[in-house]
This record gives sequence, structure tokens and C-alpha cells, in this order.
Amino acid sequence: MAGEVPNDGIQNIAAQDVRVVFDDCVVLNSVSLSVAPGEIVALQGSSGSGKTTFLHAIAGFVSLHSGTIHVAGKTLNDSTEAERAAFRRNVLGLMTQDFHLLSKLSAERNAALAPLLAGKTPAEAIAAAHDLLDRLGLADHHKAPPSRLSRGQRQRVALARALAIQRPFLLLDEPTSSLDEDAKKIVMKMVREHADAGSAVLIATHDHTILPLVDRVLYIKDGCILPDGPEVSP
Amino acid sequence: MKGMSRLLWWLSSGYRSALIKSALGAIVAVGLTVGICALGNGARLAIQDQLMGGGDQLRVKPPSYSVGGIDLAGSVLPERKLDAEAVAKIEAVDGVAQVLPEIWSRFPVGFRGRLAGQRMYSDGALLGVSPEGIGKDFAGKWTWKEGDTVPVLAPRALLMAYNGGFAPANGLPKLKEKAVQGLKFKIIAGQSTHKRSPAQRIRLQAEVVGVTSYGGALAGIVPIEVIDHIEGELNSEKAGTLSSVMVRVEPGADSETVIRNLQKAGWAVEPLDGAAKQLATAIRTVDLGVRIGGGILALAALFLLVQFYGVLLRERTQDLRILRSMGAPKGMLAGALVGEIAVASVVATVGGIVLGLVLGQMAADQSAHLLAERLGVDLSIQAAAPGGFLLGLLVLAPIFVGLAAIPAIRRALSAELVVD
Repeated sequence: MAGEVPNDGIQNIAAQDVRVVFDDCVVLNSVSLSVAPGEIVALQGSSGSGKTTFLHAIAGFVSLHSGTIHVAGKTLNDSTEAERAAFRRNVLGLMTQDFHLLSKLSAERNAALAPLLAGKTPAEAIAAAHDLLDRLGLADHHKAPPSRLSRGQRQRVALARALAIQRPFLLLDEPTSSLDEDAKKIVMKMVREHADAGSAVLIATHDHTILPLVDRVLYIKDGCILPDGPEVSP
Repeated sequence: MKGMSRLLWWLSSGYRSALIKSALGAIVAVGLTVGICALGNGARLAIQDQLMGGGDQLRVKPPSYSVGGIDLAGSVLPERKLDAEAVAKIEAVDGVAQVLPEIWSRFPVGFRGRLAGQRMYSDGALLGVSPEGIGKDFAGKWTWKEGDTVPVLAPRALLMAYNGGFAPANGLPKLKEKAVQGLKFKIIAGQSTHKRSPAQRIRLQAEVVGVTSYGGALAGIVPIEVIDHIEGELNSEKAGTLSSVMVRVEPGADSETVIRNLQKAGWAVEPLDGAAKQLATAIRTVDLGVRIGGGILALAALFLLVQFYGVLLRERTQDLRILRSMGAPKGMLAGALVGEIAVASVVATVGGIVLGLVLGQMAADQSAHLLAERLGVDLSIQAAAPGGFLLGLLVLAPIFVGLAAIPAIRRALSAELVVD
């Protein structure tokens, strides 16, 4: 699917010839891909291959050297900082690799932040957070701050924050890296529910065990999408 | 705005205790400032009202133009008498609410009696005052006819001068206000230690019925009929005329303007008792200095709060980066943070004002107790910081703190977005 990407103006993510350069080092080189609504796409690659940078490019965290990213028919390259913030607030569900929880807020408040920022009332936001946390096995940890949670639990709080409201786009960076098999299944089931409700989902992952649960897998190496998948050593 | 207040509440959770601790320092500093101001202002009001008889009173007399000891007002210039017609004219002056007749003793006066077991003879002065002038506590008994004991009100300022200087210097006991009441003595009109009336001496039995701050006068205050009677008996040529009037200024009117109006009308306006006036002026000056210095101190305390807040913000930079990564608008975050510190400053200011008024009242009670002990005067000092000062502090504090916090907030919000 890598290569020419149609920009049909509907609720999809479409990147074309995206090139990102940090200090003369090419991190992404002519990356093109699209994710359609209802589709879950996994981006696989070794550490430093450019998976996370690509997700950050879509989220508007890094500037493109060249190429374009269209989200829901809008070109992100041309948008202002305020427009990108509005995009992240209202359109994008995002889970970063390091979870980025607010250290002084409880699990429920961390999870409720996304719906709160999207305009939900505190009661609605907390209710949504409770629902997600309960499904992710954190029913007894609503009030716990991140410092009292294990890495796996923190990851689930970050997932709850990303999934707390239905968004057109979901970007998940290593969503299952610290989870056991049962928890992975629960997470992927919830991600599938979002996709079935119309979200376009892009997952950056090392985790081979979840690949059967996604619709499509793309491989990235040295900042380039491999058209034929990874080379397999004999 | 609603979203901002929600965000403000959420963001502050976990940082509130640190914020409250920062605000506590400001509360103490603002409290001390307000307390000192409240005490200074309360003391000034107490002196003005309870020693000088109120800041809205003026004593008006016929003008005197004295050259080499000769009063030209009654010789070269036409004499101005304070008669009923003159009183009516003074009443018509802009800003004058009430005119109260007074007659000062224009004859020698001596007092004879026993004070603390010792015989006492002293020269003095009498001031005849109408019932309207001396307040509702004594107005009912402010009548006199020949043969009655003369009711006398002792001036509080005189009692203070006696207890503060005369009594300690002469080994006499200090007198409290209650101890003075009921004191019996004789008024000898027409004779003093250095002057004797050519006509006759009149002896009247007198009794102190209370202590007053009327007009800041250092004279025995008696019903006006007493002076009329004495002057009649002494065949004084001034009998039947007033020596001065006490003018009460209309509430809200500017005393200085009323003074100018009275002077334009040809009357002399005499300041109330000089010592008390000077004391009040000195306190007013100190009070003004305290208010200005206090304002600066309060702002310095609030500036410290801003500095603490800056440190707190640095701790929260990562949180702010995360929130911005999630799409929280910079303006909304900035507004929430400015609101947060402004609320903290209002809490600090209100807390400081409450603490200050409590501390000020405690200090005022202690000061009144000390005054009663040392000077024998029962001054009631109410700590009362000027409303304008408090209102100014309340309005300016959040504005000042909000503005002062902007650089720290801008720094915190200009950090790079979260990138793994």
C-alpha cells in the first residue's frame, strides 16, 4: 500500500513523500501511506527506524522537511499552531511511547483529561475515564497517582486517555509493550471497537503478537517504508 | 471561561498545598501590613473622636486684630459680636450643619477641693456649653439654676495631661475616668492665684458628672447658664454675649472648604486643642507613611508569592508540555495559570486582611489598656484599616500578581512540545 496515496478528502490519514530531517540526519525519507476510516494499520520496525517520528509528524509535533500530510482532507503542513492544537484536541486520540501522564493527577483525572479538553463536563469526563479504566483492569486504581502504578498500569491509564472518547483518528505508540497477553487482547478489542465506529488507527509497535489483530502491517526501516515487508534472514 | 475554570481546578490539584504554603507567607506579610495600618488609623480616629471631640467640629470666634497687645477689633474696627443674628448667619454658611453656642470664662477662675486626700487649689477655665453640645449621655442633666450644684464635665485631654505629666512629676496618684466622677469641689469665680476681680467673688459648689472630649477643650465644661449667671453677678460688660460657637460640619462636607467659607464671612476659625490636634496630625502623618510603606510591603509580599509561583511553574513545565501536546490551547493554559495565581493572591490578600484586622484589634486593645493604665483615659481604639486602602489592595493584588506572573507563565508555556 506504500507509494501513491489518494487524498480523497474523507476521514483518512494520508501522508505523501514525507521527509523529516534532524540536524542533517534524515529520519524519514519519502514516506507515503494512508489509513482509511475503520482500518487498523500497524507500523513495524526496529528501534530508530522512524516509527515514532512518523506518528509525531502526523500529530504535528515535528516539522516536515518536505512532503505533505493530509488529515480529514486538510493539509497539516499549512496549519497554524492553534489549528494543530485544535486537531489534537478534537480529532486525534494519541498515546505516546512514554505515556506522558501528569504526575500529580490521579489515574482517573489523567484519563479524563482528553474528554475534558474536548469540551466534556468534568462529570462526563470522569464517567468516561472510569468506564475505560474499569475495562482495562484498573477499577481499584482510580485515585492512584502515576507514581503508585506499575509501568503496565501507567500504560493502561495512557491508553484509557487516548480511548476515552471516540475520535476520527487514533495514533498509538507501542500500546502493548508492557502488557500481558490478556491485557493485550482487551486493548486490541477496544481499539477494534473504535475502528468499527469509524476511527482510522495507526499503531507503531514492536509487538509481533498483535499483528494478527490488525488489518494491515507496514514495515519501516531507516526512515523508509519497505514495499515488500522485512528481509528475512535465512 | 467555563472550560478555563475547569482546567484551572484540575491543574491545581496536587499543587494546591504547595500553592497554599506559598500564599501563607504572603498572608502573614499582608496581615502585618494591614494590622499596622488598622492600628494607626484606629488610634487616629480614637484621638480625633475621643480626645478632640470629632474631626468635624470647628470653633468660630469673632476675629481679633492685636497690635502690641491692643485688640483693634474692638477699637478701630467695628466690633463683631456673636449674637443671635451672627449665629443665624454662621448657620447659613455652606457646609455648616449645626452651630452650638459657647461662653468661655472671661473672668478669673479658681478651683478648690480635695484630690486623692490632698487639698487642691488650681487656676482654671470654664466653658459654658448648651445641652446640644455635650452629647446624649449628659444632655438630660445639663440644666442649672442658682443654688444647684454645678454639673461639670472634665475634659479627657486634661485628664490625660494630668496623668501623663503633672501627677508623676508631683508624686500625685493617677486618676482613672471613673475615679474622677463624683469628685466635688468649689468653683471660685472672680479670683485666681494671680488675678482678682474688682467686683466680688462667687463660690459655687460643683461636681464632676463625667468625662468628655467636647471640643478638645482644656476647661471645666459647665451648663451655659452658669457662665451667664457668673458674668451677671460680676457685672461683666460682655454678659449676654457668646464668646465662640462650635460649628459642626455637614457629613461629607470638606472641613477646609467650610473653614475658608467662614473666614470669607469674616469669622476667625480656631483650631481645636493644639496638643491633641498636633498629636492627631503626627499620627495622621505616620499613618500615611505606614499606609504607603505598607502598600509597598504588601506588594513585595505578593511579589514573593509570584517568585514562589515561578518555581512551582518550573516544576509543572512537563505537565504543561503534555497538556499542549494533547491540544490544550496556549491561551487557555495561560489564562488558567494567570487565574490560578490571581485566585491565590486574592486568597492571600483576603486572608492577610482578616489576619491583619484581628492582629490590629489585638494590638489596639493592648494599646487602649496601656493608655488606661498610664494616662487614665478610657480610649476605645477600634482597629480600622481605611476602606480605600483595603479595596485598593484587593483590586490591585490580583492585577499586580497576574501581570508579574506573566513572564514565568510565558517561559513555562514556550517549552517544546513533548517528544519521546
